[in-house]
Amino acid sequence: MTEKSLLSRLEAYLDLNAKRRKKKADELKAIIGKLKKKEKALIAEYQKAGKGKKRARLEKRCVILHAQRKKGLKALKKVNKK
Amino acid sequence: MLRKILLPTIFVILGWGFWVSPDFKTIAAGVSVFLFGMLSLEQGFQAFAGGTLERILNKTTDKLWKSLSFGVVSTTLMQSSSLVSVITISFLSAGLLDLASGVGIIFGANIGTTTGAWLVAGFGLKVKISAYAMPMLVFGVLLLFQNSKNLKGIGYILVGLGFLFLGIHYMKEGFDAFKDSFDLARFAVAGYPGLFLFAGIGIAATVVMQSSHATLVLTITALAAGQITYENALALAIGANVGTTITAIIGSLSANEQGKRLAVAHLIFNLVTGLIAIVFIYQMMASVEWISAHVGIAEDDYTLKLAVFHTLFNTIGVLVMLPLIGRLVSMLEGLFKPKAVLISMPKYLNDATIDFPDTVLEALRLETLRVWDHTINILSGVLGFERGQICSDTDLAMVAQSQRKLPDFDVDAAYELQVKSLYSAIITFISRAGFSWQDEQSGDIHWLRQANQNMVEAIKASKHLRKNLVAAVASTNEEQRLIYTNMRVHLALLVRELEEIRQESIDESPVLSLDHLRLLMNELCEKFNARMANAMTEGRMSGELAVSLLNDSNYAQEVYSKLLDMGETLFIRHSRSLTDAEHEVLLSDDELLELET
Repeated sequence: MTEKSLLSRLEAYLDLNAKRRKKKADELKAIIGKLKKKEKALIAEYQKAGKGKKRARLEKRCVILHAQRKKGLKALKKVNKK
Repeated sequence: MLRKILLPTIFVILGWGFWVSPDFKTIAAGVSVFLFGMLSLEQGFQAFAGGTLERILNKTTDKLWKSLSFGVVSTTLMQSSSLVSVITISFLSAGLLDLASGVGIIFGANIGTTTGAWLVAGFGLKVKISAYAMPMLVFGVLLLFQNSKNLKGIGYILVGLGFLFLGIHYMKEGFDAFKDSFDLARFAVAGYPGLFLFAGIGIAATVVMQSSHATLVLTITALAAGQITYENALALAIGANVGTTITAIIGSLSANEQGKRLAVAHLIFNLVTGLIAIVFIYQMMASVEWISAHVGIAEDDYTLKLAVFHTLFNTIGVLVMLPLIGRLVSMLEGLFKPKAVLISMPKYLNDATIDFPDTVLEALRLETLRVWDHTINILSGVLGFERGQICSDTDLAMVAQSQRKLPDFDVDAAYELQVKSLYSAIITFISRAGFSWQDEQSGDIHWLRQANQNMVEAIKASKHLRKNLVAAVASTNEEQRLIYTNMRVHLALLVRELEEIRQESIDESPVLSLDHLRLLMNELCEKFNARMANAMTEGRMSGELAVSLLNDSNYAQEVYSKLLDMGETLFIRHSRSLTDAEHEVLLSDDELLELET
């Protein structure tokens, strides 16, 4: 290993911000995955539900979950860009 | 009566002893200083732990070997099996620990406590221990004056250790001087009568001093000074082991049936171990000789041999009792049946939990969930449904449309019976426990109090609705009937969804907020206003009816938003700590508004 690559490895190891970013990215990935799974389940439930109050509630929940997932993806992109 | 004369009698006997022998005074002072050291040490660990101990306990007790190891390690570190058993009782009372794990910890604590004998016999008597005590006391007292809670805790621990060492030093000095003027060994009793007599004395001494450590140290120092025979010292150690259960028994008096079960398990374990030790005393003495010869303990070093004996008989006790743990647990469960708790009485709030912050929080959370359970009952009654209908997939709109009369329901009586006393017990408990805690914990307490208040306010608002709900169901005005039916169905559906989210929150499902319900509430309000305006324009609704509908709509909105606040507090934000990433994906008010439009 050259001196330069050794130094860059050391720099990466000591870079606390990078570590923090990686941790945040992992957490975001996990939560996005969970939200996606939940959204899928809710959409399936929504399609099964007949017309009525239950359907309206499920629709609202789907909309919110979708928006939260989008927000999460945006945040993940931002973290990865840094 | 006995209690009244006991203390003066002890005072008189001690006073007489001090007058007759100054050396006895030194020994008694040594015991007192030692006990004071134990108190400081316990206080230090309680202040210093600040929830850490409870968190470790919570994580490391899912398997029997883990709880056993926890008992050994924590008692070795804290040198107090009493503190470990009292914390375990509080955990059991709050429902955070099952009985088998609790019994495992107690068994482990019995092994951990034997390290005390090793420390005193191996270190305390061979080194000039008071030399360590002095600097510890000086540094400890300096730390006690600091503002930081943790530094204060360390201060108490140092002062405690300092006093422990000083106490041992005085006891040693006292016995050394005592043997010149008075030979206690003359009172030695040989054979089994001596064993039972000295075991009894050991029990009595430990009950009075509430510390088996103190009895053991007294025994070891007396043995080192040749004031008691080796055989009688062994009996005293057995007695101290049985007597130490008194602290757990006292601690369990204020606990629920789980705490009592644990205290009795402790007593049974120590009695069985003591009996085994007495019955097989000669075989055990031979084993001690064999072990001592193999580990290099001198032939005449009886103090270290006592430590070997103490460890041996406690280990044998654990080995004998461990396979019987399942039977012991089921026997205790049969012996102490849980009392049927009145619905209005708190189930988890008891004095055994109040000293430990995390336990108090969990007890309060569980009790608040009971208030929620009762709130479901009351709201079901107010809205004219059965609880089973709300907490299932029943089509509530269909049920509501088929109703021509709402079942009778007295909101005030139900509130008095099911919620009021529980709510006031929670508030009283919070006010008793809410001081001098870390900010984070005080914050959680604040949210729990708020969640309870939200439920009570939702019930009160629903009470105002009830009269017009009853009238509307029986009304011939179809418009009025339909609007009120919609109102109660939506409220009942909210209760249903909150209960579903409560169930889900146990498995950490990613429900991060109840924003979808807030959106729905805004939408419902808009629809309601438009419908009312239409009905008035078309002459289907009188002005008088419109006013009362507007009032009731406000009450319904209040019930809705209070329940949402409660749900967000209790089931989402405070059922688990949100990570940074979870905070990141939560929607702001502006984003919600954007979704609405």
